Amino acid sequence: MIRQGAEILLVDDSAADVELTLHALKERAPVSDVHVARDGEEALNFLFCLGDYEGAACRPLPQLILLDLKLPKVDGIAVLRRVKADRRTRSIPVIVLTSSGEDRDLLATYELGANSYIQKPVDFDRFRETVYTLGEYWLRMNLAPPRERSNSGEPG
Amino acid sequence: MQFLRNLVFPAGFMPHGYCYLWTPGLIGLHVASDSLIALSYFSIPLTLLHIARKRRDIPFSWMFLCFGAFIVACGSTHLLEVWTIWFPSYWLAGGVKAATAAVSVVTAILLISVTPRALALPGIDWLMEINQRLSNEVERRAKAESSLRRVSEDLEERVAERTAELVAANQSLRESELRYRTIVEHAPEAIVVLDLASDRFVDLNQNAERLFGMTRDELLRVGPVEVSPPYQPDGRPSNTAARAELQKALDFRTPRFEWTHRDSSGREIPCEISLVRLPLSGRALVRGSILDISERKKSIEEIHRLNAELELRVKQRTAQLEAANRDLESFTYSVSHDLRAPLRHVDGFSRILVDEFGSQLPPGALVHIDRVRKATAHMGHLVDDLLNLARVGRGMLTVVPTDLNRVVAETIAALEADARGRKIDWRIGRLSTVECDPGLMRQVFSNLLGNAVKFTRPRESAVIEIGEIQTDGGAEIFVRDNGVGFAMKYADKLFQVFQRLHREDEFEGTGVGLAIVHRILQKHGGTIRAESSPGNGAAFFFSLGPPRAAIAVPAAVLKDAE
Repeated sequence: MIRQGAEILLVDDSAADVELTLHALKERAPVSDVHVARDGEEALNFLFCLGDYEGAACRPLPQLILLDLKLPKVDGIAVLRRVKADRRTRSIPVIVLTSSGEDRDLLATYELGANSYIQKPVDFDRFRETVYTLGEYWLRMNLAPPRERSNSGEPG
Repeated sequence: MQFLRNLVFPAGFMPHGYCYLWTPGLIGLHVASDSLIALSYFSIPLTLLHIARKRRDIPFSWMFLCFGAFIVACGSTHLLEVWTIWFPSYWLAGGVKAATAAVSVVTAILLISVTPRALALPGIDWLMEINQRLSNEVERRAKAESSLRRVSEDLEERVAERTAELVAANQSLRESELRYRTIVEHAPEAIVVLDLASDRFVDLNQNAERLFGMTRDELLRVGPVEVSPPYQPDGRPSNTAARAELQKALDFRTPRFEWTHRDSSGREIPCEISLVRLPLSGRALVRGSILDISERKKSIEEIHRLNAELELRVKQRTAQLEAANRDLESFTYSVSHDLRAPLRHVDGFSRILVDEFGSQLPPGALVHIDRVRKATAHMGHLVDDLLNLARVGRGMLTVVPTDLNRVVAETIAALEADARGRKIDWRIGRLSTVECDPGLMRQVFSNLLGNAVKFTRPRESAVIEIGEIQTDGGAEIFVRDNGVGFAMKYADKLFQVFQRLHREDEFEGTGVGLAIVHRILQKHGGTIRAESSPGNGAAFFFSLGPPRAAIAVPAAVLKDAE
């Protein structure tokens, strides 16, 4: 079974940030489906069909993951580690989209295989521009790897 | 008398001349011949006697006397032959003849008896040879004697020398003894000599008396155990411990060890002792050199205590610093993550407000919203600058040779947006290639040149000069502008965080830029100073300090930083 639907998994705990990001994403770009996970645990459950996403609630894998780092329960670094360590999810591009530009975050995320790191600009005009650009790039210009079919949908 | 007369003038006989018939010729012949013979005979013994007397070395000299007597006797007979020609003393003549005969016979017999011995007498040649040999022998002896004399003189000389040497040796021995005595007596240590047979001190110096608080005589009645406490600090009984150390000395080792003595007042004295067996035959004598190390012990304890204290303080301080560092890091991390988010939200929703409801808002509200967004942007810059400053403080330097002209060129290119529409005369001198962190150096120039661009804004024609000058302290790089400048009385505030010399509505800014510059140059071991006066532009001079070899960055750190 091919999991289809969510093009983007947005992982962010801040409601305001989620709203601004969705605003920016949908304003100019045709994004069909964005699934929002409000903490790291929910993101992992969504990806690996666990907890609330078990069984019938299991959703298709996203084409892109927008990942904040400072998250309740399981932080972004841990989510990234799990995603990149699992054969089923490792090919999904993960864009770190976060407030900080600290060296240690940059080092840690790239080390774990993050595909991009974007620091959210304070200025909303630039933020909008940035989100639009990355959507354009990763969903339109960039060719994603072929979807895995064999074991998708099974619990990890 | 009658007899003598009869003997000389006997009666009855005729003179012998009658026999010659008184023939004058015949008588004359006999008389002359006999007289000459007698004369000759009488002269010969005289000669012989003379020889015998002169040459006493001639053997058998008594034979000369015999010959003499015999010849005198013969001469007498011849004389009586002459006498009897005229006087017929025939008895006398006969008697003399008989005596002559007796002497002759005796002489003949003696001569016969002496002949073998006479024949055995050496000949002249042989004697001369003997003589020669003898003289050779004499010569040889003389030589031997003279050489013997020489040897003897030599020997005497040597004896004299040796004696002098011995005297000198004796003297130096005495001096040596005195010297060693003095050395021992005035040595800084207490020195004792212990006889192991009696276990008693047999010699000691003044310091030993001083150390133990006892007189020489008192000390000579005791041994080491009597001037030690019963037990050493390590718990060993003093007598067995002492015996063990003394045994080492007996085995011709030179033990050196710490020992606690006790003086006459009962005070315990920590000492350092070195033992050596004295190289004397017969007696087992050990010299002990005892140094009072109370002061040293105290110092060492003090050092240990201070060290421990210092270590503790270092540990505490390190822990404090680590905690502070951790706090600072989590603080900046938190600032980085959490402080910017609300600003973004304020700005974002303000913008959405304008976008979606702008047409329904009065113009005044739009102005306020614009102010809100500007304040948000400023706050964002403050946060970014603060984080930047914190990052500069925390980060390691990545030092490489850097072409500063290139850094300046890149910085000016990046300032393009700020400089747009302005008339700026960039005057760039030749700058050195220096060892520094290129990223941080870019930030230094970015801040300084950015300031220069900003503060020359009121000038129609801005002049910004970048160059290098040589000073006593080495090369200095300067950035000079013809901007608004500042009063030097505020110069000390210039490099402090959040200190601004201009109002926000004059020149925008956060007051962090020069603090960052200062921090970066400090990290490089360099300095910065400013020269200015209001309205006359400003000049900043900075150096990068000594060659960067001192701040070598480990390869691992470089690798991590990549």
